[in-house]
Amino acid sequence: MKKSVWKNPLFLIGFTFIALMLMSSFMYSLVWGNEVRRLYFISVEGVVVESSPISPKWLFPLGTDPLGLDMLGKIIIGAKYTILTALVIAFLRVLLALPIGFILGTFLMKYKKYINGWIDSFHYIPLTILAYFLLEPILWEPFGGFPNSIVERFIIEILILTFLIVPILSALFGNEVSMLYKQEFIMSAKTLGAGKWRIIFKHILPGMKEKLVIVFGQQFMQTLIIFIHLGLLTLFLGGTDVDYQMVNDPPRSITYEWSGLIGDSFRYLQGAPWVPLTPILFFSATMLSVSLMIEGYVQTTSGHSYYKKKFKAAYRPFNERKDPPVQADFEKVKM
Amino acid sequence: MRSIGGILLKFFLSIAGIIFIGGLPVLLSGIGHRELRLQAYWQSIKEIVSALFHPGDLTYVIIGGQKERDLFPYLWEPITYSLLVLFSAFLLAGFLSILLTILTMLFSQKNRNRIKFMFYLFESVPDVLVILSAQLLVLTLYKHTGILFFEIASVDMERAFLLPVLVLAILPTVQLFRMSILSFETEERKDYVTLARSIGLGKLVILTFHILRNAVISVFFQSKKTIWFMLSNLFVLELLFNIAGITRFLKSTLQPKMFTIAVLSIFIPLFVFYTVGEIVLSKKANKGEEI
Repeated sequence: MKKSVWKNPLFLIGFTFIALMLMSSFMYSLVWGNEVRRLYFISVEGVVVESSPISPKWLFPLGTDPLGLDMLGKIIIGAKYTILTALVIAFLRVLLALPIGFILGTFLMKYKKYINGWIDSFHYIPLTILAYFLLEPILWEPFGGFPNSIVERFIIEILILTFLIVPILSALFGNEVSMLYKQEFIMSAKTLGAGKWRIIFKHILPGMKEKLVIVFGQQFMQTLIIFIHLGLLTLFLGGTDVDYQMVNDPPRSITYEWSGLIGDSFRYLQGAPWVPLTPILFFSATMLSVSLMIEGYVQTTSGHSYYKKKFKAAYRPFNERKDPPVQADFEKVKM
Repeated sequence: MRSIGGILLKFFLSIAGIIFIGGLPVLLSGIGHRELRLQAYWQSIKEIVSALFHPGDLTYVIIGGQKERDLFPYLWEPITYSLLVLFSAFLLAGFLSILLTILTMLFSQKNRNRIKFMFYLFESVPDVLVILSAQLLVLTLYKHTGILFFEIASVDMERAFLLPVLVLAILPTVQLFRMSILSFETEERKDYVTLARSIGLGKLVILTFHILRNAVISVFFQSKKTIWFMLSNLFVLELLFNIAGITRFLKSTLQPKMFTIAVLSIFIPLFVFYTVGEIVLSKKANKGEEI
């Protein structure tokens, strides 16, 4: 029995969080623009009791950063850039890897060993470092300012982060496709005279649908992890604004996207733990909601619930016998 | 099929792949000015190959430093240290995940599903958060008890070892747990388990003596992804713990040559590890597939 995904509580929790973040982000920008509340110090009866970074208060639930900017405001403004870019990257990865995977799985399975051997080499290069390597000349502001516009930088970054994963994903899809080709229903479809395209579109694609959604979710999460790591390395989404004056400001992000909030905030870990922890917690919450959505999706489609039922049916004889033996069971049957 | 020729071919294909990837930054370095530098790419690949044949001649300059140093005697230290941390963490994670799996398998199906769900959620925690909370935890413990349980950062001479290994092992444990519990559950449905149960063996005995040795094989083959994940993890760890390891070295010298050599120094031990493991295991069983 198929239920709608929209009735699954896990899926809904995850979806609500992400949708709320996005909506509040756009609302905030519409209403207040990209202005963030500032609070430099708190004074009680003329005596300064606390200056920025100010610890979380009722009015400033996540505190302020060392420059006195409200953390919550920055998080809300940044949400749309971070989440949407990660979504686009994950979507493009799956979209590009799918046809390549089909080609690999359909025509090139003879050379599977060589292709897998070559793609295997990707598995030994830490992705973060490779991404850092490739993105550093683009995202780090050179002395005279960026040679290209912010839109261009976004596009280049999205493309690079997409293409880094496409080989691995295509190999994954290729193996999946070649496994599906060995299934019986494909055989029977072939016997009935289905052409190559019909098999691909009518039999293999539906068979991979669930896997595709799961991979999409995983790629989304992986992209967010890369954003965190790049943030640690002070390469921010859409470019890092570098100050080349003698007494320079720390490098900062051009937008308020979340990896820019991580930046070099780690030195405040002891004194003001909310500064580095806030963006990381929001990253974690987003990833958690994505994994909740995946789990909810798997539960509603054939996956889990079906599996559980099957499992229970197979194992009932061992685990439980519904009625305990009664006296009548041991009496001789009268013929 | 596992002939020496096949292994060598795979080895050289992977190395070729790494060399081509190592040159990529040069190819893309002009992308900000909307050009692909194919010629320079080819040049740098040639440079990398020649550097691989004469590793003794390589020197490197620390960023900001003036002196050139020879690469090779120096590089051994971070390589061995990083690999030691990586492998200890991996072994620890493998051991812990199998222990947890056996414990979980002792529960009823309903509770087992609950535990699996908890671990599934835990898997989505980013590594940075794990590292940060570990550091915060040690700090608060220190504040309250006055005892520094672990070194939370490396200084010049002393190197933190125990805490990095522990922290690095946490998330891989969760990932390996997911793989091994899946593998245990598929094994549990096989006939030999029914047979073992029918001759009256206890649950724990079946799990540790019969299922474990079959289930571990497929976990081993899937663990390559976990190692990959751990490499990125190791990098962040070295950054946050201030460890001068191989991944930090990778970052500090932005040269294709150095990058390729550093990646190869990670690749070769891992390749040996997996190839030996594969040979040993494929002799023991049919690659984790049903015979």
